[in-house]
Amino acid sequence: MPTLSASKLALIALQYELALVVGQDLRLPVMLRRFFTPALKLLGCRSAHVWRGEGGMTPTHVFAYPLREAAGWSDQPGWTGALASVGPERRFAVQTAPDGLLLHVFALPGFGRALITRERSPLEDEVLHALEPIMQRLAMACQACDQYENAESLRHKAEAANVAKGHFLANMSHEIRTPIHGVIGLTELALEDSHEAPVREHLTVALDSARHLLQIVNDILDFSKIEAGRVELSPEPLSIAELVDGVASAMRPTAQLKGLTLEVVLPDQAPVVMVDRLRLRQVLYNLTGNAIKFTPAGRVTLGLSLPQPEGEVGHPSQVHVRFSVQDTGIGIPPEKLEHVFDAFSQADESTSRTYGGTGLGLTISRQLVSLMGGQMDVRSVPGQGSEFWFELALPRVAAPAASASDALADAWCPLPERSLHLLVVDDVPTNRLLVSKLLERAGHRVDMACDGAEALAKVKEQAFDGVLMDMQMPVMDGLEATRAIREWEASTGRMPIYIVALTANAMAADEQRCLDAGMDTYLSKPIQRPAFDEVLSRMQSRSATQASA
Amino acid sequence: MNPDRITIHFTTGAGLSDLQQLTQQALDAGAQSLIVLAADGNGCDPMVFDPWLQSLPVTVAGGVFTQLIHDQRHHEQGYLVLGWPEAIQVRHVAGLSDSGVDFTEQVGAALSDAMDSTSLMVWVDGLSSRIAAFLDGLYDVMGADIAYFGGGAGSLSFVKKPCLFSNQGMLQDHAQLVCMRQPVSLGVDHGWQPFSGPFVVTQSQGNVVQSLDFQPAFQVYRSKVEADSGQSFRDDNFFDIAKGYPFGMEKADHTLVVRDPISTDGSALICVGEVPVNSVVYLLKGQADQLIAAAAQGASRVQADAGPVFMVDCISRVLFLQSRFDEELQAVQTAIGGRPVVGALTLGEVANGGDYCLEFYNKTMVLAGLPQA
Repeated sequence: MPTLSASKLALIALQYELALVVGQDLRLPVMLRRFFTPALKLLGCRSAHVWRGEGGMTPTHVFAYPLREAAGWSDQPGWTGALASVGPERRFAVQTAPDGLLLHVFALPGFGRALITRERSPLEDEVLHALEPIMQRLAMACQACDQYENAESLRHKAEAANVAKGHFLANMSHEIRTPIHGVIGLTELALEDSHEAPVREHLTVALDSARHLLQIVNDILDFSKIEAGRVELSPEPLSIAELVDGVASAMRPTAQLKGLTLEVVLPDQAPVVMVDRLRLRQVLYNLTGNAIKFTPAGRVTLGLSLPQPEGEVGHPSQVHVRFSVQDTGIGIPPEKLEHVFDAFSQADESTSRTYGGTGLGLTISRQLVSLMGGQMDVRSVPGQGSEFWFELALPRVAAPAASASDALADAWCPLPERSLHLLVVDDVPTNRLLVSKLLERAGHRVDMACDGAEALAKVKEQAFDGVLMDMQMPVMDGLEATRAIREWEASTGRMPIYIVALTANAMAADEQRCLDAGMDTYLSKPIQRPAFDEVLSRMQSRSATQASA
Repeated sequence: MNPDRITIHFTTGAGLSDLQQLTQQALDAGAQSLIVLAADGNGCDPMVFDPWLQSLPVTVAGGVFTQLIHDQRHHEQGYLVLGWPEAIQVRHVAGLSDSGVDFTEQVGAALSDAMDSTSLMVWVDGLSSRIAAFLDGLYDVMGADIAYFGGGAGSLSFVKKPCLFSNQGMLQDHAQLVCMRQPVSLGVDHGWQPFSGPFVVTQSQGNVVQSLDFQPAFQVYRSKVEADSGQSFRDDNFFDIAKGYPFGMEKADHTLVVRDPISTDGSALICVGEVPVNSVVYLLKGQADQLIAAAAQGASRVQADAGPVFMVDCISRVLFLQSRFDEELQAVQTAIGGRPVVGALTLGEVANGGDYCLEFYNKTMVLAGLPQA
């Protein structure tokens, strides 16, 4: 091979070195500095400038090395004319400024222009030609930096929107549910008090509408939370057979109202596993509710089985569980089957008119199952019925021993009921009214406070048998008030008062926070009568025990 | 004595008392600031010097250099004190080896109140690993319209230790910037010529060259140098041979920036100053006559004036030229004329010449003609 001349070798070496310092960062000023700092030394030049803008656009100065020359470039004699001397037809040019400085201007296609200054003598022609492809690469690197900056800007905006969405969800969840709970609770109370048929009919419709509205709100908020990734699972030891049986028992009255049979199929032995009780129950309620809704006659079957995964030796500490809900209902047309899990989609638009619903229930259920590590699926035959199922691989745990508190509760003998002196704490007047009415109907005396600070003051002044405390309140919230009460009790040697959290969000994490703060238990809004009665029963027992101590 | 002139004071004494006498002479002559250069052979101990530096009534700058230059001779011991007729501003930048330091930011902060300087005397710890990065940041902040000159302080033993003088005491791994409002005329040259290459620096980290053309750097270097010199590298003689065979980074105008390999680290070569990865280097060697002629050529570029000429010359030129280094000093003096030539032998040199970017040179002679006040 012929040897290269020294000058040709030097030119190739120069081009090689410059090519390798292009595009070393995606931030435009950093990328340009990392290129021009070594480039100016290699070229024996003194400064470099870059402008954004081509053609008829007024160029915008975006870079200078040294930085000190960034200001005042427009006052430099001859520079503006030099910048205009390059374009699509002419990729580089050399001009001498009136002050003798040599201006080497390069087009950066798709981006703008670059200018390199030198004293004494201009760069040789071969060097200028060697620089042309380098400058084209530099132009592409500049465009890449611009695109990166755009992408980063969009990402920041999306993150900000997500944060705002999270705040909205947190606030709206409380703000929307609170008045609805008030409507539902007071309507229930009014129903209990009214005996005239027309009034009862109207109140029943109002109550059904409010509950339906609450379900819609819950679905939308749940869907938004899952979309925003703000749902966290709280696994706990659970007998899944008991859970499935419990869901069936709760839904059986609704099924019987339609003349349907609700069956349960359970394995001989079902393990205790770690799973989010609330969310799993939510999914089963949704599937069972749908099955009942879309079955005009026949039966609905809740099934629980323990299949072994094919070709896989079961992990000794995990168990595969299959949940299924099968019905003899209207079925789903094949062409609609793939969209049945889509948000706001039902099998038929007329279905939503006939059967109601937001179209979010299955979407939410599927997403919750996915969060739990499983996958939901469906098979259906129009006119014969559908089966929805999902499988989960859940950690197996030993059946939890009865806790000390449970043991203590079991040891509390059901004593004759007596009137309790109770404190209701809530900043919303409607909620205070609702809860106090429920308590008074149960035969108890009620005082009220509108925030945690007032509650603390009252607890210190009077003897209460129990406190029902809302969580979100101004001045002092429920958690802070509870901690303050417990500190006061510890410092004065008082017996711990029974404190019940009234939670609107029903999130496992919120409930754990209540217990950590020192609360004894929690009631989720809207208050369900069985849970409410149980809480009052425990208060009675604690009060009687303390009285006899 | 003219209180507006730079005064020059020199002693071959090596003790602190000798330096104290010298500085007193300068102060008696009306000096408002002091540039103090010490030879490494004095053994300046920070424990001894710090209290004295901190007690000085005027601003002090300078440092410990391998040797000093005075009266056409180089001295392994002694002190050189320049009495400055005005109060100079001295700024420091720390962390000259720290990989995370943004020098543009650091220098900008240090020089925020000295942006009107016309010239900068720049002293660095010559054994720091990011000197070139620091100079890039300095150039970024101060620009191309001022003259920079200076060099690397430190010991030829290549042992890192405090080597810069300041009113806070002796400093290590720092840069020192002496802000001057007088213009300075520069002359820079070296005389080394390429004899082998080019080689691509395929792997490097700061001032450590790890591979050349994808092969271990020292392996490539030794094969070329041993073949040319007829000598063999052993564990204890690397710099004895390498002082005659530096690297050169070629610019577009065919001038060379020299890089001095001073030691090895396994198969890697440690240089004075960074060698960027993917740079193309040549192996250089020198002829004594060419080096001396280059020094005279560089001196001829210094504009005529009446003030003293500050010489920053690379210690490895002394090690290479040996007894002929006196000829270099005489050649420079002849070219300069009657102006006194004083300075130091350094580990690396700093200069820009006013029309190039700021460079960190090795094996190069830099002359700065100071104006008469």
